[in-house]
Amino acid sequence: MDWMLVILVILPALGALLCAVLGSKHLRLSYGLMAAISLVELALCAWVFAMAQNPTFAVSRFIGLGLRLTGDGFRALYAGVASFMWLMTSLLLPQYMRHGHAQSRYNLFTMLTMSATVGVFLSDDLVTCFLFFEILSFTSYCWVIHEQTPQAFRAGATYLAIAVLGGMVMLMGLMMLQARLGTLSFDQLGLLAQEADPASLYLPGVLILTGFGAKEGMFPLHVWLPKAHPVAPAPASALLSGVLTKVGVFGILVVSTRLFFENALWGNLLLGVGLINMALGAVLALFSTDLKRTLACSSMSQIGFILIGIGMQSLLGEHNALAAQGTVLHMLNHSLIKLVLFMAAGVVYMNLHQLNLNDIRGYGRGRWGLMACFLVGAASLSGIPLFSGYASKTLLHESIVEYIVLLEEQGLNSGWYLAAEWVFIISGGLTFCYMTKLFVALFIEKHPTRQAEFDARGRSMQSLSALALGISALVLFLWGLWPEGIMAPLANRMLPFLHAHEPAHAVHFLAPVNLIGGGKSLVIGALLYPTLVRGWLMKKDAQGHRLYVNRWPAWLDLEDAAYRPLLRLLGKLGMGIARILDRSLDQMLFH
Amino acid sequence: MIIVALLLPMVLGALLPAINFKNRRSHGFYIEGAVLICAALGAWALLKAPAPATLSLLGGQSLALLSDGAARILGLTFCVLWPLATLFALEYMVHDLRQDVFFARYIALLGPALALCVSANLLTLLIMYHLIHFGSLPLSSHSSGERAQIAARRQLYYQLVSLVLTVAGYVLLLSAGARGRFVYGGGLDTAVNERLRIAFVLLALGFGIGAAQFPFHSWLPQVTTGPTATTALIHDVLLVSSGAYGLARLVYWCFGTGGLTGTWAQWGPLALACLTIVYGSIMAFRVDELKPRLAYSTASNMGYVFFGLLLMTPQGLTGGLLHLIFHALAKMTLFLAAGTFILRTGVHTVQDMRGTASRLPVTTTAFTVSSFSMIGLPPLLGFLSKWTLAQAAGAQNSVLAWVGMGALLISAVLTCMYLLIPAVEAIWISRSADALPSRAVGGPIDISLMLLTLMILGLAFVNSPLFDAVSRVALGQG
Repeated sequence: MDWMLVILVILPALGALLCAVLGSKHLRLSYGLMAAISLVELALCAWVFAMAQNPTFAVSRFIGLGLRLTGDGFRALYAGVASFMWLMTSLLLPQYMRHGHAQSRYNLFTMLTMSATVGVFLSDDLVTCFLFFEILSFTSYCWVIHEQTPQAFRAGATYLAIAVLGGMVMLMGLMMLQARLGTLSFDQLGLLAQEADPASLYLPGVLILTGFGAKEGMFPLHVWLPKAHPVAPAPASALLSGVLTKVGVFGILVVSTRLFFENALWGNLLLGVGLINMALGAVLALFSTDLKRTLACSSMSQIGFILIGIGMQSLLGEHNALAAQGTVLHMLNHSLIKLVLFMAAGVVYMNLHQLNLNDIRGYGRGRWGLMACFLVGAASLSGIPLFSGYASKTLLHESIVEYIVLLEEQGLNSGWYLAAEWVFIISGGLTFCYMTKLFVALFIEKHPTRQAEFDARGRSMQSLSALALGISALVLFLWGLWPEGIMAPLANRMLPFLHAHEPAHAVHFLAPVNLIGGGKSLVIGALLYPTLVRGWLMKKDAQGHRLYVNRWPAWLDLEDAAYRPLLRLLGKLGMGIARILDRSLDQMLFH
Repeated sequence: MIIVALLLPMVLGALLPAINFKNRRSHGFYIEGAVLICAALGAWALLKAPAPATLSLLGGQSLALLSDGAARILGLTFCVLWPLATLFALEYMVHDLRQDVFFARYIALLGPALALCVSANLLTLLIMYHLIHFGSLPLSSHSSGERAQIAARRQLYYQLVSLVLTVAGYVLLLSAGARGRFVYGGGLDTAVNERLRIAFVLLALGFGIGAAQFPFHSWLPQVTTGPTATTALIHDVLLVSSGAYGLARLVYWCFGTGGLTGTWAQWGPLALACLTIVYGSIMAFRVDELKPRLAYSTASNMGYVFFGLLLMTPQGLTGGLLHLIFHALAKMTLFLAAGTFILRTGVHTVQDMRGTASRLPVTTTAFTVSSFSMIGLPPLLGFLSKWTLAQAAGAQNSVLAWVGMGALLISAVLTCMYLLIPAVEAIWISRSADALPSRAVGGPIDISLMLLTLMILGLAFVNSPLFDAVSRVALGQG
């Protein structure tokens, strides 16, 4: 049973080697191999999850520090979700990559990334986690630059720079933590941190948070995400958004639940960052006029929801059951939703090779299958009752409300948290609004000039692609139908990893109070769409066609306005000093 | 036996120009065979740990040889790297008219290199250290170009400074009534006083010149104008390692850490090491020429080693020695790969490496893998040594140790930039096919690069014996 974990990590790496050997001559075989390996991984994860024996595998001497893997409920499930997503995206590849280049390179690095991703999700100490985390940082670079366009290289450079910086900052944090507590194993960290002075843990905690946050697009390190996710091929975008961001979340969950279990300061920090992420991502998504960019910004926003959940766990301490359930369920939902949505975007792209809403609008008219799949994803993300996103958002919302009630019982000021609740509700409204924008553009509006051509085109998907998208959407749909019966019990299996208890009483998701909470968001979204999107964010061109315009000011880009100039300045400064030292000393001695 | 092992390289090297070879093939076989025999014999002598050999000199001084754990670790590294570098040089130097002289010196240097490792007192170590450095000068000036001559002269000046510093330090040490034996924990036979601390700093600076430590670094990037075979093995592995190894012996076996820890004699050199780490990386990032870039990177990495050694704890020694070995392996691979790029494409700068990957797959793989090792990407070796260094610094818990840790991280980021940019440009930026060299056929160069790459990858997974051996040495149990 323990060896199962090693197999889980090594199998994709072996697959990567095989893909490299098969090369570009036997691509169909490679795709088949990738799907088969993903399927085996999925089955193994499901088995580990079902056996519920929490197998542990440890090598004490690997890279001198040891390697520990564990397959408890949370980890086995998430490794399984990752495998499922790899399986579905690999089914889309034959059609998507039909006329592409360097497919064998794509396959090689996709399987290597899978190995590292599964490694992170199964890891049981921070060193193992860091090991796989760094590997996937580098291997996933090949996704970002796959198209090899100038934008892709630029986005890739930003991605790599933030990944490297994040990795190093995290390493600094790990070294400090090791020096303070003498261990990096998840279990012992939890025990030792309770006895340690919390003040001594803030610096390493923040450093590690920065490292993991960089990977999940946490403000202010989010700048790479809206650029890198869209330029990757759609199957890779789905994995970047759906799984790789969760790698960062996984790390933050570990740090938060082990080091800062009942730490209000830490909780407030994560809550604050989460609110910024959530609102900023939603606003950016609303302004965007590019299908995949909207989805990427939306990922940033949804990561904000998850961060809020993690923050609320630390704030609520012992009463964190709702927050914990909401967090894990929103992670799962977001993974599955982004799988469906990015694959749907991929279907559009592989037919039209365009992503701008003005170019692609109307393409989905009459394509009922694509529409149904997209609709499931959009409805789920918007939090419409009976779809999965509704349940997790309700839980997160409830956890904020619970904290407000708790504060009021103690006679404390809850003003900030009331404001946070409203930001939460409004962001939910924005989500509904930008998903409506996408849906209307793709499936309802007509293209002003090319509609006849669109309608005349044949099927948008080959049967394998349709199967992948259909299964993903079906899973997402069924999964959301009965939250009390499917989602809550599954979430409870994941709670021990978060050191959380099961809630004292089951939540009734369709109770009026919850419906009203979710309804507020939907009403806000419904009000914003006709006014903001159809009004301010569209204008008429010379022919009288209404076009989507991106009114986000171009100069308001943190990367171009601040990071790149700052980096250049630092570089010049360092080099200037180095040059002076080099010249002066050398000449003083020998000229 | 050990004497034979040390003298054999010189004998076999000296014979080379005297022999008349029928064809190039037998010439190559002789050279590679000679190096292999010398390396094998050296390795055997090191592992067998023969009885100490001592030769008394005037004035109570003596030359002494002894193979202990530390000697074995560095000596075996040389024994592994020498044949591989020679294999590369065989193809690299094939059109050189004076290659007999070159190879004679190349082989012969293995003798003093091993003697340096097995030196059992400070005097022997110093003699061997300078022998290596002065002996490498003809190799530095092997190319007849003016730049190479100037660079070799510069190296000579720096070496003379080093000679002055070390002799002054040794005389001061003797005048304080101390002896230069190597005993783990300190072999001075007297308590460390202020005068001995001055002697220590002089000697440390002298070794620092050999390891291209700031502010005495500038000879190293300049001598890269010589043949890559020299740069890769002699300059950036042997010479700098001899300096670092000298410091290790000086701190842990000669002076002992007790009398130095916490004094200016520790903080001063430690600060310089931190400066070298950052400074070397910045310079490496700044220069566009590939070989000087790698040379600055060597200076920076020797800074890591010096930093570890000067922490003056067993863990620091472990980290320092590990990094010394890993760096030797990775940097030699990097240089050989860079040399292959230069040889086969005629380019010298990073920009010109663009798109060459498809034509030089083995070279690019070797370059990329050794880059990752250099950066310290787990599970490759560089990570282990850097982690150990950082742990040692963290355990120290002093301001300068934390500064050093920051320096390590800044340097790691810069290392990523100055090594990954060439690798990425070579692999992914495409160029029109006619601007590229034709696909090279696998020769000795490719074999040597492949072996080195496999070694780096293999050591990533099987490294606990090495780690244990180094840890034992660092605790004085080896």
